[in-house]
Amino acid sequence: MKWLKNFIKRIKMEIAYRKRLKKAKKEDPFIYK
Amino acid sequence: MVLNFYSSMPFNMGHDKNYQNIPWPSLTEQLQNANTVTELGCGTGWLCNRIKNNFPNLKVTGIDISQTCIDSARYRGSDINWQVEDLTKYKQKADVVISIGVLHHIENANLQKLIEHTIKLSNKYAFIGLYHSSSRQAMFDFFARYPQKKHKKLFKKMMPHMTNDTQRESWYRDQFNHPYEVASSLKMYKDAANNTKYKLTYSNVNTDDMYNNTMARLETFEFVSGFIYGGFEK
Repeated sequence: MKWLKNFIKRIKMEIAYRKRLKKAKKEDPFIYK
Repeated sequence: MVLNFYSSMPFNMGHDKNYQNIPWPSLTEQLQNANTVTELGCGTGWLCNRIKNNFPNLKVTGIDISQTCIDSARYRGSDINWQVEDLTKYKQKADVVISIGVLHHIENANLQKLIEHTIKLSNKYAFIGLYHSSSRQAMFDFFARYPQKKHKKLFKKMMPHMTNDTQRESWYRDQFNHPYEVASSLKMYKDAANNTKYKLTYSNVNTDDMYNNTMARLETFEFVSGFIYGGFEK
């Protein structure tokens, strides 16, 4: 079942990324975070 | 070793589209009341140039140990005093002193003492950004989940705002191939403030336990290199 948990986690990470992608593209590339 | 590293490819190269954005309001506020500002380890000079664009009457000095970096910086701004100097031996004071992402890369030096040396060079305010230990650990642990051959691709995914390949490469090698780095902490910043009798009036972190917070951001594929910023007021 560990593979399933990892798979679900990966999907969740990807959804969160897609959500913030539009905003992320506008970020200042010179800034250190 | 570090000098060679930056001389072969300076960090943060490329065209600066956001040439007026000073991303730290606490720093901008202090610059309004200053006459002189020095950046220790200015690299290719993006921040000095942005400061000059916002405050044309301010006397801006950018120092760096690498001649290659200073040569690149000269292209960005001509009305800035660029100097090739070793910041550990630099003694000229300024109202505001800035050092971002530099002190943690100086070999054979005590980081605590370097922070205090930087603070004491300021007549009014010092602004210092460095790697934070637990935040930095989260960054390394996140990438360790993936095979090394996928790191560059992952890094590119996490930097959708960085469209210039050379700039991204300069960031990647700075993060993963740097010959020397140490990390700091909020405690270190607080100790530095106490030892120099300055006040730590700004910090972007309020705890040294930043691991989970940073990891949560990384897990949305937001690139966080793990910085702590501190503002020290006289």
